[in-house]
Amino acid sequence: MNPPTAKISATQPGIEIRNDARNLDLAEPVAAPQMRGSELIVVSLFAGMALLALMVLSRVPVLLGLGVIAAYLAAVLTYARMAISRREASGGGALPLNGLSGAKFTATLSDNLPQAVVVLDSKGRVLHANPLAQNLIEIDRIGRPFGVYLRDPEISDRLAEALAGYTPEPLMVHREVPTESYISCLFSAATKIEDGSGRVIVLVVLNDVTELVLGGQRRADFLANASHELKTPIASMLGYIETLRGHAKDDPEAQARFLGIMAGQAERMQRLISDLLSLRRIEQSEHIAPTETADLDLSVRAAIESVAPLADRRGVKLKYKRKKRSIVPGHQDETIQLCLNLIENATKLSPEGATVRITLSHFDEWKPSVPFADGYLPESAPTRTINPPSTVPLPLYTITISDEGPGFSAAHLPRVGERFYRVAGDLSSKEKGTGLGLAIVKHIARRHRAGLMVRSAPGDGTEFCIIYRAREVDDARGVPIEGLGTDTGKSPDKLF
Amino acid sequence: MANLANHTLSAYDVDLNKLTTALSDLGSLVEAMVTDAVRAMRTRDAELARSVVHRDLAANRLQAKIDDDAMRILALRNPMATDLRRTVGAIRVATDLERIGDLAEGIAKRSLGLSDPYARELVGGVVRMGRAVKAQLAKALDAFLREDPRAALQAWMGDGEIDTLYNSILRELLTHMMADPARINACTALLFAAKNLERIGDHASNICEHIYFTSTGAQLIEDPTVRELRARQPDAASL
Repeated sequence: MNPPTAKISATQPGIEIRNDARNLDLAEPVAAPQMRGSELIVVSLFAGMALLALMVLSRVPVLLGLGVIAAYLAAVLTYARMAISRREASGGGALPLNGLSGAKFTATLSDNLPQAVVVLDSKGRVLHANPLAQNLIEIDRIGRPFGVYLRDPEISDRLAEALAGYTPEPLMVHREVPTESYISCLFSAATKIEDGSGRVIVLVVLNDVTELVLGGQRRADFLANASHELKTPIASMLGYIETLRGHAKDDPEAQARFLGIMAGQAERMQRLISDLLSLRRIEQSEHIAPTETADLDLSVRAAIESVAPLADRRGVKLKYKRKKRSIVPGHQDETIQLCLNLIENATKLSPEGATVRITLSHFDEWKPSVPFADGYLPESAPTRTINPPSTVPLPLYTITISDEGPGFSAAHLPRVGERFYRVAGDLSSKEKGTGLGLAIVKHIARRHRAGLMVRSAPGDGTEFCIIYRAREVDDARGVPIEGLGTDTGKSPDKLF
Repeated sequence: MANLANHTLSAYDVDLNKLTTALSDLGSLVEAMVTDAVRAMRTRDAELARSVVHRDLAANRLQAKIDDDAMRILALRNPMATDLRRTVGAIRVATDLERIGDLAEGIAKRSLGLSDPYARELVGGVVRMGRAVKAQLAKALDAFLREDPRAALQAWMGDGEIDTLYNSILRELLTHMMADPARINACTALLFAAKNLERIGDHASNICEHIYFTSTGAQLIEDPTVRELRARQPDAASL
């Protein structure tokens, strides 16, 4: 695990590694004394033979030569024995970690494992969970039954089996909240704690296997989606190619027109593929919340910059009201894409001379009035929550995007954000949409654990509201406080 | 991570934890039943449907056991304040979960008779609704087991979504029935499944209300957030 330490202990006899429990270097020091003893003897024998050869070559008297060699060997052997006994005295040849109490050692060990581990007592209560496990299944208190954090009809049976001293079969738990994920659970057979109390513990090793399980399914979906959606433009292109080869062979005017249409179709296919690919990329990482930070103001401005040429062409005004400091936990590029897709959609749906209004606001905590606080539509407009916003009392940022487009009726609301769903008669088919833009928005928001709401009034327009949970900001310095929400700084001494 | 406050009687604590574990078991059992009932409907897997029907027995047994355990705590330990609410809450939640099991069994039974070729193309809406209801139930159970009233409130507010989905499915199926009487058979079965799912969602909301009461001692509908929500959207009163 820690190569530098291993090297040192092999070259320097008797080096102290006892207090360095964090190196967890168990195998090396146990084997070291024997290794060093035999190695020394072999090396000194070779050295002795070399010395003998030298003496023979330089014709030193035989008796004197033998005497020198015997003295040399005796010195080497004494030194080797001393080295071995010194190590045995210091480490006793046992684990070099016996200076630590069992509980503390276990806690330190499990906290540093690159694997989610939970320790349960004989009643199935959580005694300890390392930070990875705390994050994976959101353990916020110790002492509660394991079933509180992970639910599966089989868990009780597996635990009973483990407590009876057997090693149960691994168990795969399917979770739907906060996002769909699969977690594999390995239970160890119950082990006695060596403190004479006779208490037992069960170790549970957790693994996030979502990628493995859903990967295949998503690949199949991707192929099905891609082939289904590419069928139409390809068929249409083939039709034009046919015509260009036949009737339009000698008609340069028709040729120019058909090539234009074909270029349009090819562009559509290109957009479709790039949308499908980004959707797939986001879906893949959806169950892992982003750990970096993103600036919402920056994202909105970047998105507006990209949409500006389109808005100019269509005679649509983009108005942005903003909040300067807007750092949230998030992925900057994905946040830009989220804003871009929504603003682009709004622009495409707006008639000439209309205005798309984008507002970035800050709220101290969640209230029912937060969504669409900056909206322009009447309160009575039917609303749908695509992703539920977080209602924990933490500061929030909202981005509201309002257009003055045709809007749509409440019947379409439940299906907004569905892949390839287009409201019949909307402008997106005329305006080069792929039907994936909102699906991408939905998945990005879900990955960021951000709320996403939509409301629409036919004739008045459509509004989207994204509700981001803000990272708490240290006002004095204006920098985000790291590690908010994950309390990993607990002491392992209180264990058992 | 804070240490759990210990009761004076440690055996009592064990009793309460046992109740929580049993509820987690029952919760995961009916969750799986709902998922499998909807899957059986989609894939027309008779074997799976029968296993859901069979599991309802286990759910009933577990509910009876939770009832017994809770009664024993009430009779022998005379719990006060939070513990009393936790114990009573356990009885109520177990009842709701048992009802959810019955409703899932109903869906599974209905899918057994569903050999209609039309069902395949119409089942999409019900599957989507099943996913939403299952998520709602999972959120409610998470909030209940973690005793988190905020999460309960959040899950409770998600019920409107399911109602919207239900109404849209209703409209969709009605359109199909009017267009082609041959589809009435399949549509009725799906309508029945959708209705059951909608009621499962209602029971999930009930669970949220129980948690809110268990951990705060107040009624959820009197929460200032809910009041504000209702003041803003009078038609949301049916949530």
